[in-house]
Amino acid sequence: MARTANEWNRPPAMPEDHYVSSQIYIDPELFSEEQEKIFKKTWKLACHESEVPDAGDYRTLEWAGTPLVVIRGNDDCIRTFVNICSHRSATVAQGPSGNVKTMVCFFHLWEYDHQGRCIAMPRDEGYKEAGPSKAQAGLREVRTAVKLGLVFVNLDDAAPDFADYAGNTFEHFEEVLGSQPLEVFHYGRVKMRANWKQWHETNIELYHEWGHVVNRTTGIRAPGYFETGWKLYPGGHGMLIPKKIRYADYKGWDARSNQTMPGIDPGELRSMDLFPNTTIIVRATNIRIDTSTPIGPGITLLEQRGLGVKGEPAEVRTMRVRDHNQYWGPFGRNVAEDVIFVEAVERSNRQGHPNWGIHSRRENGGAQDDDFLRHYYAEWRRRMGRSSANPSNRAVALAAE
Amino acid sequence: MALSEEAIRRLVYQSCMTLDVEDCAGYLALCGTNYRYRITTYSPELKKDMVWLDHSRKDLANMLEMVPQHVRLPGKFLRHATVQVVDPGERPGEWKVVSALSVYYTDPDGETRLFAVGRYHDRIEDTGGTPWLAAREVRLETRILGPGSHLPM
Repeated sequence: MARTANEWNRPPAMPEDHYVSSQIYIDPELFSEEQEKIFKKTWKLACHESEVPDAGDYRTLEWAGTPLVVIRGNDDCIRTFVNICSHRSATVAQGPSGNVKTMVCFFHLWEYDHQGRCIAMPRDEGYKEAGPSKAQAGLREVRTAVKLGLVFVNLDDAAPDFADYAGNTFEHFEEVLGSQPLEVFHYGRVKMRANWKQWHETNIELYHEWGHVVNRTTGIRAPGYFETGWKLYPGGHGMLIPKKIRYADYKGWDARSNQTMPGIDPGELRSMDLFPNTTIIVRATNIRIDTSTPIGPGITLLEQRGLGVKGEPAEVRTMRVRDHNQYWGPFGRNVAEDVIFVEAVERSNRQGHPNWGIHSRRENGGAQDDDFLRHYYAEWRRRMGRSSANPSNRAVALAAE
Repeated sequence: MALSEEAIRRLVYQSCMTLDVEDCAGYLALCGTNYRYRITTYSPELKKDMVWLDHSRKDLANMLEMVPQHVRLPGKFLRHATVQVVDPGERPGEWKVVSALSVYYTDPDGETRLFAVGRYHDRIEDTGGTPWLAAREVRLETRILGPGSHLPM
C-alpha cells in the first residue's frame, strides 16, 4: 500500500541501527564534522609502494583538505609530508608524481631532503637575527605505515598505530598482497555526485549485485553464493568470506582459472573493507583497490587502482589487464553501473528524500545480510558521537549509544 | 582503384555515427575480420600508459551484444571526429589515419557537456576502393570520465 506523507516521513519501526537518516549524506555541518572526527583521525590509503619504486620518487594527494607528498627516501623508507613549504606556503612537490634529489620549493627555493629537513634557504644569513633556522623550518611529517605494499597515512599524530587500527582485517590478504611484489597497472578517478559513504556502502552490501547483469549472471547464480557472508572486525572493518564466481557464464568471458593472484583459487572472489574508505577486491586474476577523497557532502573523488604481479610476462599482464577491464575502469561493465546507482541515490537524498536509508536485512550473516553495514555505521556513530538515524539530536544519540 | 581521402573520411565519420545511434552491427560492418580496438591513455600518476579496453572483433561483438542488458547512463553520446592526417601505411592498400575526437554527452533533459577528448589512431585497409577499419586505438586525453561508458568511444 502506498503511504501518506506522515507515514513516509515517520522513522521506520525498527531498531535505530537498522536505518540511517539521509542527513548523514547531505548536511554540510556533518560533513565538516566528519573531516575532523573521521578523516583527520583514521588511516587513509595514499598509494601503493610500486608508485614510488625508487629513491626520490613521489606521489602527491590531497586528504581532508591537506596537500600531501609521499616520497621514498635514499634510505628506502617511505615518508609523507604536508606538501606545503614552511616559508610562504607554496606547494613544494608539483604534479601527481615525479622524482627529485631534493624537494625544492619553486617560489623562493627553500630546499628539503627526503626526510623533510630544510637543507637550504637562499641567502640564509638573512634569517640569522630573527630566525627561523633551517633546523626550525622542516616540513611537517605525517604518520605513514606500509602494510603489504599499501601506503597509509594518518594526519593525527596521536592516532593508534596502523597495526592496532587494522587489527586482523588483513589476515586473509597476507598472501595475495604480500607474497610477491605487486604493481599498479591501472589508476582511475571518478568524480561522483554522491556522498563518500554512499559509494562505500556499495562495497559492503552485496544485494546491489542484483542490479549488475554481470553479477546476476556470474555470482548470485553460482552455487554456494548465499552460504558465505562477511567476517567483521573491530573498528568498522570487515571482509567477504571468499566465494567462487562463474566468470565464464558472462558472454565472451573465461573462467579465470589460470594465473590467479597468489593464494587465490580459480574463479575466486575475495574482498575486504577498512573503515572508513578503503576496499580491496580480488577477482581471481587481478586486484582492485578503492579509496575516496570526499570533497563535499555530495561530491566524492573516487580513486581506483588495478594491480598485477610485478615483472610478470607481458602476455600474463595483458590477460590481467583484460580481466580487470571487464569489470572495472571507465569502460568496464560494473563501475559505470555503480556510479549511476549511487548518483541516483544522491539525487534524491540531496533534497532530503526520502528521510531514511534502510539497513535491516538479516540473513544469519549471509552474503546479503546488512550486518556489515550496521557494523560500519556503528563505527561511524562511535567516532561522530551522533546517531546515524537521528544525527541532529546529539543528546538522544548519545543516550542510544 | 586507389582509395580516396574522401572515402577514408567517410569511413571514420560513419564509425562515429553508427556508435552514436548504437547501431552495433553497422559499426562492426565497417571493421575487418582481424579488427583490433583499443582505448588507451597515459597516466601521469603512474608515469606509464594504461590500456582501458583491448578487444578483437569477436570480443567487441560479444561486448556489444550484452550492452542492452546493462544499466547505463541515460541520454546520448555524440562523437565528433576531424580527420587530421592520412598517410600511406607500410603495405599497399593500407593507410594510417589520425583524427581529433571529442565526445559530447547530452542528458535526457537536453543538457550537453563535453565527455572526453582524444584522438583516433586508425589503420585502414581497402580492396577496390572500399575501405574498412583494420585497427583503432582511441588515445584519450580525458581521464576522469564520470560514470564511464559501456560503449566504445
